[in-house]
Amino acid sequence: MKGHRPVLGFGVLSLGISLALTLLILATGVTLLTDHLHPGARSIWPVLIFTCVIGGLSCVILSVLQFVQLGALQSAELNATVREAQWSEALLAWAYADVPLPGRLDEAGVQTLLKLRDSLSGEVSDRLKTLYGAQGWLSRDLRLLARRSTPVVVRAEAIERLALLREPLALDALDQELRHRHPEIRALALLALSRSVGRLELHRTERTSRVLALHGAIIRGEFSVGQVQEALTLLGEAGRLLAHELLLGAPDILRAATLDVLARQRTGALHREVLVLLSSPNAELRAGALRVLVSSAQVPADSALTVLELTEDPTAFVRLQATKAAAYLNPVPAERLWSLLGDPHWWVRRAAAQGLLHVPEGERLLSDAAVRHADRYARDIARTTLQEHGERQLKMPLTLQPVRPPLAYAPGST
Amino acid sequence: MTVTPRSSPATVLLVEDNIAIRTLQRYVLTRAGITVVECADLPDAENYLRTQTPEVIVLDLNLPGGHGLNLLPQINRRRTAVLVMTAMGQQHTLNASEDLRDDFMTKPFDPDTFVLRVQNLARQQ
Repeated sequence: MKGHRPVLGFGVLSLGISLALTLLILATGVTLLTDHLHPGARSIWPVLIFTCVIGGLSCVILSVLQFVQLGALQSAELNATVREAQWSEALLAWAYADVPLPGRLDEAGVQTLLKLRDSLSGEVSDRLKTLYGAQGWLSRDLRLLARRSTPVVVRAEAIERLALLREPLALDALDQELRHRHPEIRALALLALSRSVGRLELHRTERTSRVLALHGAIIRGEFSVGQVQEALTLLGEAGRLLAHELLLGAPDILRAATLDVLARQRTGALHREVLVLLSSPNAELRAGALRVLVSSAQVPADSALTVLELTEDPTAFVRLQATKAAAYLNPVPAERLWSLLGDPHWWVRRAAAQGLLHVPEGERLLSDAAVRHADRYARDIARTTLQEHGERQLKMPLTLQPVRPPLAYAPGST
Repeated sequence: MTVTPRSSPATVLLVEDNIAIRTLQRYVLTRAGITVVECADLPDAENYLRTQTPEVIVLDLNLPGGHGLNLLPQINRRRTAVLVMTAMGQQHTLNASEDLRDDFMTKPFDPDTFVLRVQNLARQQ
């Protein structure tokens, strides 16, 4: 019923508007006729009565239509839910106990089978896939894709079914769809292939060739950045090869998108390719590469110098990521982070202050900075960070006085 | 909310909006002799938890009425273990809440492994 609340609300709103309009017409008429009588008043009455009757009838018809539509929607949804539950029971009984199915798979049965297949791995999942083929649905989908005259919507539905099915026999057909003239079909094929290749246990050679085919299609510029990122995510482990190829030879926008996916996956893989991009002339790529290092919490020792250099990058968002990455260096460059507390960019100052907390005596350093740093904004951020840290640590009282003389590297004492 | 007949001391609450998956989870757990209670959305699960304390909760993340992790603070963690079910690629959501759940499985999942995980969690309670 919850899904029908917007429809019901819309119906009530329409009814209210109709009623308000009718009342407005009526009020206008009454005002004209009673307060400002004039010679044409008698001829206005029939028009007003006719308008009111039509308005009232519209209200009734509208409300009846709304409630009929609501009832039909609710009934259809309930019916679909019941059929899905029945097919789920039937398919599971068939898969686990060889109980015969109640009949041939209809549309609802196929959708349920595909949902189960998509959610499961192992023997039962494979049995469901075999059933899909045995009942003729696989060959039907492949025929639909092979026929040039198949309408776009029907073709899209077939691709979606094959994406859920994860069937090696359908991969060639989906490959062909990567060159379809409709961008929506190409995008669906890309995602269907990524999903299938990511989850199927293909032979290494075949998996490589499938991924390289996807790379070719992506390089042809036929997909949006979001679609490429989704493909990389759906490919899972198999996406490493695609990410490798994209980082090496794709346009900068796709390289940045790939770095974004790697950062979200928090993976330490492909570090060699990522580290090369730290020296890219494109600030987006430098920041993206640093974000991958930060998210994986791994900054290789041999890139420490580059990371430190990037903390002086002219672009603020690169400095921000470099400052975050510096906190993962061993040892943490406390002196550099101290300087960065006075960066003109607030986020860099904040990252530097949080980075200092990674140092063994970080709290003491921040306490020093809160009173001794030459930059007033640095003192502010040190104080704020300490306060937040203190609140997190069971709201311990904050002491801003240094416990011993300022450190040798503090700018005020050098 | 649907409750299967009690056949085992362990009770498992399934919080899953997808009927096919919920039916599958209930089917395999019932076959293993576990009592199952089903909830299709977050409010339904919250209502159940106000009066009952299951041994294990199998929790989906994307639910009608809110995110599955919103249910975690309302669970008595000393008496109830939580198995989070998450779609592939959503593991990053769990990284931020490692202390809030006892175990997690990604979809697609193997039904036998699923039953074993639930049984292990029930045994720990």
